[in-house]
Formats: sequence, structure tokens, C-alpha cells
Amino acid sequence: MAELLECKNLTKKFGSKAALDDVTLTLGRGRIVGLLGPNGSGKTTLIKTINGLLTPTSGEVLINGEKPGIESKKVISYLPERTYLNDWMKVKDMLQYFADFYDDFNMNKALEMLERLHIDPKDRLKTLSKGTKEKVQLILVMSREADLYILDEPIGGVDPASRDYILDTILSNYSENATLLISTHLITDIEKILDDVIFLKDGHVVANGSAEDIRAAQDCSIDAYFREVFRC
Amino acid sequence: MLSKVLKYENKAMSRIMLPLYAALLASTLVTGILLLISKVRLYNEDNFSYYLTQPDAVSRILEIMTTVFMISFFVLIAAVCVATFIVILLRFNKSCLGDEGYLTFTLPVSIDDQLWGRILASAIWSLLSLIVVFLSIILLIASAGLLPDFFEGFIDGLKELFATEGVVGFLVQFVCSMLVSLITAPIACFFCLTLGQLIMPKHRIAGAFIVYFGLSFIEQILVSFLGYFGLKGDYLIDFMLENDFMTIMRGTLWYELISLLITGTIFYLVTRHILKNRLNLE
Amino acid sequence: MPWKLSADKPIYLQLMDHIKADVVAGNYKPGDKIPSVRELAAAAGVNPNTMQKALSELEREGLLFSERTSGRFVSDDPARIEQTKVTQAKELTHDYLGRMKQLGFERDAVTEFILQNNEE
Repeated sequence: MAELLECKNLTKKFGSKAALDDVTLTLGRGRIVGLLGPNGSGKTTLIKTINGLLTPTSGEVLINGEKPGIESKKVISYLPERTYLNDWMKVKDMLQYFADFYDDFNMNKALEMLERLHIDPKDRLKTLSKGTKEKVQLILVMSREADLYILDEPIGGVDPASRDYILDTILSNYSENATLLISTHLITDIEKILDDVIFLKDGHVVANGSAEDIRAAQDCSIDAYFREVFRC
Repeated sequence: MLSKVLKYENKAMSRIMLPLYAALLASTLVTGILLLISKVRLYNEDNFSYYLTQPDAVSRILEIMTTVFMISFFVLIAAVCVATFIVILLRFNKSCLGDEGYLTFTLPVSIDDQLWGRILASAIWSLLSLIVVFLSIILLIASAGLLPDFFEGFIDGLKELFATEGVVGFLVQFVCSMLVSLITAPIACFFCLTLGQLIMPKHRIAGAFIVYFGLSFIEQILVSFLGYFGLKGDYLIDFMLENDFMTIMRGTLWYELISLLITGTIFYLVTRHILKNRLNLE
Repeated sequence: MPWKLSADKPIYLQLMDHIKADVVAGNYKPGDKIPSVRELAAAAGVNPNTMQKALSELEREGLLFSERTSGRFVSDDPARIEQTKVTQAKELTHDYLGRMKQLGFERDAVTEFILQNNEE
């Protein structure tokens, strides 16, 4: 069976600037991987390329052995940093939208999660607060039974209590063979759940390995190691 | 998948268009009734004019109300036309080029389906708006009680029309051109928006306008270019001298149809390429 | 509430310590079935893979054993558990002595100090 995600000498240039420079990495199945790096390191570019929103300048990215396309989009569940929900629909309309376009969408799971968060499916998206909208987006993404979940800054603008809930949700909806790729710069909150970490700096991969190995080898937390590697 | 895209595009458009249609229809009925009452109360059969036979308060009010509603009727007609155009543009801009694009382009749907869903929805609602406006006008004439007269004049006109040679062919061509432009017009709009986003990512609307004017400019140049080389010029003059009106009209329609198809295809392919390979959502 | 875990040391080692402490304290009796990997991981607030590693290590050490279809169980060998208790105690003591030494207390002084302060 092909690897879940493979990047081979992936390069993406914008004009003369390389946002991704000769990136080579592989993602196995059933892992929680942290994509860590400061702003501008190429995390979002990498994620967009995996999702087919950007085309590589050179090199390739393969999902289950295939280039990004309709097949890869069926198995990737993506939570972008922004709110991508339209304003006019109601929450339940949005759920139906996902059910219509994604075969692997689990409606019951989504409804359950909404209830636990006391979000009324009949509310219009427009009337929800930013934080609530983000939770709805997370619920939509985690209710799909995908092979690869890509979460871009899932706990970025969220209060500490909600952060715990989100990490809980992520851990409890994690199916054994699915892989989670979490991109964030809030490492302390998230490092305890990571299997592997990838450090990205100026479009290069500067570290790639198991979180526990790094902790043992460096005798410090991933957060501390990060600060060392990316010292200004 | 195309049907699903179409379903949601229709849903989005209907939210705005249906209330407008309802408003227009309501306005039509009210205005029509007012006209009818005016005709009965104020119309002077002798000199075919509306004048105040009884210049009392009620008639005054009636006169003013009728005028106001007539104006609002025409305003609503204009509103429906303008709104249709704007909604088509806004829907595309929002769902493909804005934040919603993150959702749109990560769905397991081909770019072709995404485009055609929007093109077809635009065509459907443009046609609907046309029909609604047309019906409203007919309805207005009908409720003002003028339908029989209007109808008579219409039938006479038709009889004369069909007596002319080549008219049927012309009408068929005309309808075909209209249907084709229902498809190619949204494609051209999407092209302007998409290319505009590419050249001016921070000011998408301005970019789209620049593309639009750029296109018009190029078209002007091309036409005069052809004219300069006498290709079209001589041929055109000969053509116009040798043939009757109907053939000229039909020839013009052919020319337009072909250029619509060619530009439509080019615009579609370029838009598709940009969306697939050069889209950089912010 | 997730378990108290530090990010400075490998997590699976800390998980192992936590479970060992539970066993020694009697929260799990010998022969008891322990919760599934997922349940433990959710309770601890960690990745199931990490918990799995910890449990496998504990199996290797003999504190836990697994029955293929029925799940994981605490060893029913009391000697084993006693050994775990002793090892944990040794580690704690070693730690303590090291830190007391830093404060300036030598071995005998420590013993004396404990006797003096053992009021609670």
C-alpha cells in the first residue's frame, strides 16, 4: 500500500522567493504529527499544496501515491486557519452540505458534538460568535472519517478551556488508521499528544522525528527544543 | 457532483432573487389595479387623455399614488435586472475567490463541475429574471385593462413580421444567439473576476474592472485592425450592397454567434487554468 | 482531568510511573483488568500511541500481561508487584538523598532529620 503522504523534493516559489525549498518527507498512517515552525516558515504553503490549493513549482506531493485531485480530496479533511463557512446557511444546512459532498461524513457524530457544545443546529451561521463558528468548523472536519486530517492552527485564537475541549475532541475522534497533521506555534499545549514532529524553517525541514526520541535525546521538552532551534 | 453544485448555487441565488421577484409581482398587481381605477375614474374618452374630470381630493390622491407606483414598478424592473447581474458576480467572487474558496476547492469536485454549476445557475436565473420581467409587463398591461388593444396591435405586428422573407430563420438564429450568450456571458464575467484576482489580489473588484476594460480595448483594436487591412471592410461593404436587410441581419448574427463561441471557449479554458493552477487564496 | 505530565521528559516513561504508582497504591489489584489503551489515553490526555508504548514496556517488565482477546491485566504475582514497589521506592529515595545532599545534609544527618520531623 502506498504511503499516506509523500513529499519529494517539493519546491514552491512565489516570484523568486522559495516558500518551500526541496522538502522531502513521508507521513505514515495512524500518527499524530506536529508541523511546527515560526510564521513564514512555509507551514501553510505546505498544507495548501497537499490540499491541491497550490501547485508545486518543482518536485511532487503524493497522497496515497497520487497527485492532489478529487481522489485525495475525498480522503483529506482540512481545517484551515480561516473561517470558510458561508454566512447565510444555518448550522444544520452546513451539516447537510458536508453530507452531500463527502461520503465519509458522519451526521450523527456531528449532531452529537453540536449538542455537547450547546450549539443549536437551527442557528444561522451569521449569528454565531467567531469562537463558535470555529468550533462548528472543527466539528464538521472531525465528523468525517478521513485518512488524513489536516488542522491548521486549531487552537490558535481560542481560550484555554476551549483548547482543552478541542484537544479532547481531536484525541477522541482519532481513528486508529487515520493520521493527524497539526500545524501550530502553540507547542506547549499540544506537544503531549504528538507522536512525531516536523520542524520547518524558511521552507526547509530542519527536524523530523518522534517526539519522545527528541525529548530523550535533547533532555528537554519539544517547546524548549523549538526555542533553541529557532532562536532569533 | 455537478447537480450538487447546481443545487447549492440555486439555493444561494434564490434567497435574493425570489424576494425581489415577489416584490416585483406585488408591485405589478398594485400598480395595475391603480391604473385600472385611474382609467375608470380619470380617463376622458373624448380626447383620449387623462384629466381630472373631478378635481377632488380622492382623484388627486389617486393620481399621485398611481404615478408613484408606476415609478416604483420601473425601478423594481431595473432592480431585478441589475440584481441578477450583481448576484451572479458576487456569488462567484465570494465562493471561489474569497475565504469560502478554501471550502469550495477542497471539495472532491472537479474544477469543471464547479465552473459549470455556477455558469448554469447564472444562466437559469438570468432567464428567469427575463421571464419574470416580461410577465410583469404583460401583467401590468393586462390589469390596466389594455390587454385587448395591446394584443391586437401585437398580432398585427406579428402578421406583418412573418410576411417578410427569412424572418423565421432570423428568429431561430436570434433565439440561439440569446441562449448561447446566456452561457457565455457568465463565463466572461467569471473570466474578468478570476484574472482580476490574479493581477490584483488585494483589490479583486478593481482588478476585474481593469480586465474588463482591457478586453473592450483589445476588441476595439482587433476590429479596426481587421478594418485597416480591408479584410472586413471591403467584404462588408460588398456584402451590404448586395444583400437585403434580413440577410445582413442574419449575417451579423452569425458573426456574433461565432465570436461568442470562440471567446466563450477561450475565457472558459483560461479561467479553468487559473483556478486549477494559479489560485492563491489569501 | 488529564494526568500531571511534564513535557521535559519522555512521556511514556511518566505514564509508566503513573500506572506503577496506581498498582503499588492498590488502585489496581493483582489480576485486575486495566482499561483499554484508548480509555487510558483519553484519561491521561495523551496520544494513544504513546500510551500503547508505555503499556507495552510495562508488559515487557512483567507488571502487566495481556490476554489476546480479553485485554490487559495487572500481574497476579505478588512478588512482581512488591518488586515494583521497591524499585519505585528506591528511585524516590535516591532522588531525595541527592537533593538533600545539595542542601548540605550527609547520609546520617538525613536519617536524624527524618526522625526529628516525622510528626505527621
